[in-house]
Amino acid sequence: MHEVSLAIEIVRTIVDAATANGALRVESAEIELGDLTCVDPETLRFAFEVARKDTVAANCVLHIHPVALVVRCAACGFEGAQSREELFCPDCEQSSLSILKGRELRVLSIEVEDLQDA
Amino acid sequence: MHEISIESDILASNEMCAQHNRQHFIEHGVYVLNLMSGPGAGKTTLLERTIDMMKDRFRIAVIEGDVQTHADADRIAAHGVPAVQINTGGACHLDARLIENVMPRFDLDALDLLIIENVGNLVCPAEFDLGEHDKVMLLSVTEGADKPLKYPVMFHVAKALLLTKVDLLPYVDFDVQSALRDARVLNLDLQVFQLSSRAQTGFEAWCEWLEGRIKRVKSLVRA
Repeated sequence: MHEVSLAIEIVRTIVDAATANGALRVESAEIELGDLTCVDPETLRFAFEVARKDTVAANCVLHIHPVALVVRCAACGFEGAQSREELFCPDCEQSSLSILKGRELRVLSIEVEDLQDA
Repeated sequence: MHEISIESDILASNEMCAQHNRQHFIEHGVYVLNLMSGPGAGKTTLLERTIDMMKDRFRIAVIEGDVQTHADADRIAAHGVPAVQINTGGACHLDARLIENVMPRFDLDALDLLIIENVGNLVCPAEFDLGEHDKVMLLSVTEGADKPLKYPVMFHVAKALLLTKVDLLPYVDFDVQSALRDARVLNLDLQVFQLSSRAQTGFEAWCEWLEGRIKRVKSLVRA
């Protein structure tokens, strides 16, 4: 259930960026969620809908972009996709993997309306 | 409509606070361990044994994280080391801010080792840096050998894995080889120790490793 903590941080990040840019209303937000984070997107969405209340993001639609796992094999140099259930190298079957993508928890951008004159 | 680029980690504010905590710990020469596992893997009992073995040579303190009750801090304090309880009041993990808040309750100059016992949970605590030097996790043989692949993040971020309750191996169907193979797939450099708190086995190697980690932080302060 750390989705609640994450949702609060997402709202804080969105509100800070909107306020800094003089926006009165956030329409939508794009976030990246890596495959190798233990975050349930639907739970995150639900928590976000609670956390956004009474902020400039009260009507903000959350677009969640999953990021597939990408690994690099230290043994044979393979770089590419692998499923999180099979964490060994698809080429040489060694397990000396480093994770290049898949641990993302990032707010990419927001769409805003009603920019105040600075 | 107007697009604003943010490109910020969701956990950035926690990371910043954690870095600040870590810097503070290093300045005072305190090695900090974040101890994590599912509920009932034996974290508190393992801590009690570890404290008894090391408290004559090192100055130890403990932060206990639980959803509620002070029972664990009371158990630790009975071993003669300072213990502070954090009750998260429902939250499933500790975060860096909670650690920062209780830091003034310790005299860091009078400590060598600070152990943070996280809330029992194999999922959420793995994502939150507290400012520790190492994350160490427990897996008890009663939990089942399938846990590494079910909870990959925890096994990926841990520096060491303590396989606990190994005295029960004759009575449970726990395939040690298979569990450790999966764990090493997730984390090639994972240090593994097999222990039983009840039978008091395996503690020499674990405490020796811990001692090496404490001395490493001390040498950073002198450098």
